[in-house]
Amino acid sequence: MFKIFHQQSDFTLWREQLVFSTEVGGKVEFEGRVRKHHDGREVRELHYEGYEAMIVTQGNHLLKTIRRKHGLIDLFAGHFLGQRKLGEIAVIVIAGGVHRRESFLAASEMMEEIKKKLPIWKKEIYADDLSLWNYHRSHRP
Amino acid sequence: MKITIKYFASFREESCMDEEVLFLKETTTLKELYARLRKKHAFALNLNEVRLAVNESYQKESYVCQDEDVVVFIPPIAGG
Repeated sequence: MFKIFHQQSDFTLWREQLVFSTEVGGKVEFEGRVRKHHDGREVRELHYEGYEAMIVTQGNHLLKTIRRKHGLIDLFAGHFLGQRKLGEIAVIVIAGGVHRRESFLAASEMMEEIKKKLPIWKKEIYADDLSLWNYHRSHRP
Repeated sequence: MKITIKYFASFREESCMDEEVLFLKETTTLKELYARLRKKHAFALNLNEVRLAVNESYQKESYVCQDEDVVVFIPPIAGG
């Protein structure tokens, strides 16, 4: 199931409880983290907002489709909502297959689809205290 | 016909509400619904910058609203 995390403790518990099949020979784990600079501006933190019901519905559909397409054994993913500070994880994808190739491909495709299809928005809070929705950056004065 | 519109991100900020309920008498497409609410709340985004979702699935702007639909206007998404 696609997971939404609101607290670090949600994520830690989820991560600790994941069980991988002993058939998995190649596991790929991707973490998207909050970085300090974006388009030349210094970022202090991010605030993620999302339409949770649709994130879960669409996220589960992606997990099922991509897992089947690449013949994976395990595929897990989740995204944080709310405040995330520099260096903190915002999104995670873990893919486990018999061999590494399908795991790399599936993790990459899952990440691309999350960015294209899940209704999640990001407000960037800059070091100078200004803030802007990610999609409004191109309109700023 | 009862339609619930949920607002997120800049739509929530511009409308100053999380959701609103409309009772429509006439046939209304998503395109018409967006135009009506954009005028009401002065939404900044053009329709061509917005994706439309009904009951947790993406829909085209020509979709005709049905009773009890939950509609969400989706600004450019930015997960990750």
